[in-house]
Amino acid sequence: MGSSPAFYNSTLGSLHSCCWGGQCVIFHVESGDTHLLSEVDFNVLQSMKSKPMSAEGLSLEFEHLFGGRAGQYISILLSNLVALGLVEIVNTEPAN
Amino acid sequence: MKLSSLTRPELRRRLKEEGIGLSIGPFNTNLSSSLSVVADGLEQLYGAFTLTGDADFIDFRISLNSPPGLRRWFRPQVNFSFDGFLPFKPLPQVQAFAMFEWGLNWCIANNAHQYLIIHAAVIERNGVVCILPGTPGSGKSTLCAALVCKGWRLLSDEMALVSTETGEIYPVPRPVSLKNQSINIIQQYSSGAVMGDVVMDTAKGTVSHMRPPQSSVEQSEKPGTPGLIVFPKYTAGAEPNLVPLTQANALMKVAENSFNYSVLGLQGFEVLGELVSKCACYEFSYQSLDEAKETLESLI
Repeated sequence: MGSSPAFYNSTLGSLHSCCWGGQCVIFHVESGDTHLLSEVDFNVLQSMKSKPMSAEGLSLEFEHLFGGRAGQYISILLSNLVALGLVEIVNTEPAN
Repeated sequence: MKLSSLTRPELRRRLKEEGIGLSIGPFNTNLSSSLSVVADGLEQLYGAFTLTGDADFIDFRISLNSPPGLRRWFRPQVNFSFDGFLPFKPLPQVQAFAMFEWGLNWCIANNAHQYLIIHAAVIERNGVVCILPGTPGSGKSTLCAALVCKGWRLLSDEMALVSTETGEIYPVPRPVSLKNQSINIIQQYSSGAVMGDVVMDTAKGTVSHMRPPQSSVEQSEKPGTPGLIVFPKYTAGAEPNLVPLTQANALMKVAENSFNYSVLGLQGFEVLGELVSKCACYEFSYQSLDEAKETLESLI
């Protein structure tokens, strides 16, 4: 039996951000940490805010920005966001 | 009434008995001490400051006195007391005035959370406040002292107090702390610089304080509007080099240089976001103080 794909969920309870010229700084209320992200990465993070997303789903959503390397880019980005505590892995598919 | 209006005996009597109340920017400080080195330092550097009235609220009650016992006479030491609490180990008594300056920094940084407090020198010219954040050794105090000697208004050489309500910068125009070679550099740079006693072998090396300009002290109650954030870096042999910094990078760097950003949490982030939005931000390396002055004045 194969394992079900991981879904990723933003841990940002309420999003506090400042963006200027392609860069965003976000304040993670839950940890008190401040992070600097590119605006693109910030948009990926925001897309997980309303509902958990799979890496595949995110790759499809942002394919227009990354083209054929979307899968690789999203995979590395998700690892980094998980390490920063901005995203958590949830193993259940979101209910529709 | 200014401190300079007190006679020398009256200054010493008050300092020893009820303490001297000083209005320093938005803070009232009561300082008591029986040590002559403290009285000398006040006389040399705080003459232009206003004395507090009897009914004024005192924010910080500080005393600098000898510890009990042998250390009163043998290799004499001084204790810094804040509201009866001793936050530091005693220092050699000759460092008592410097300890007042360092201790007052500590009192403000640990208590004045109505401000976002950034470790920075703060100066103003033509109504534009320039914040010079910097780690020790970056040369911020030397650059600040030089600019102040050439007519810039001093708001602080140690901390930017950013109002969490208005975003304005509140001045605390106290003596400018100079270390090691910077003391001679500023004395040679400006014949008008008035220095206090030079104290050697402190934890920071040789230290002296430069008297703040009277005009800056007289504007102690006038907050300023931030317009520039410049991260200075003294670099031997360097031509002046001003590199624009993105607002996002500036926010991260200023947060690292803040005393209480983490204490303020979301409020600190919001205040800092507004601050950097209003400012042009740069990294700046320099060697010559004259060239640095010219470069910074070109930004205003």
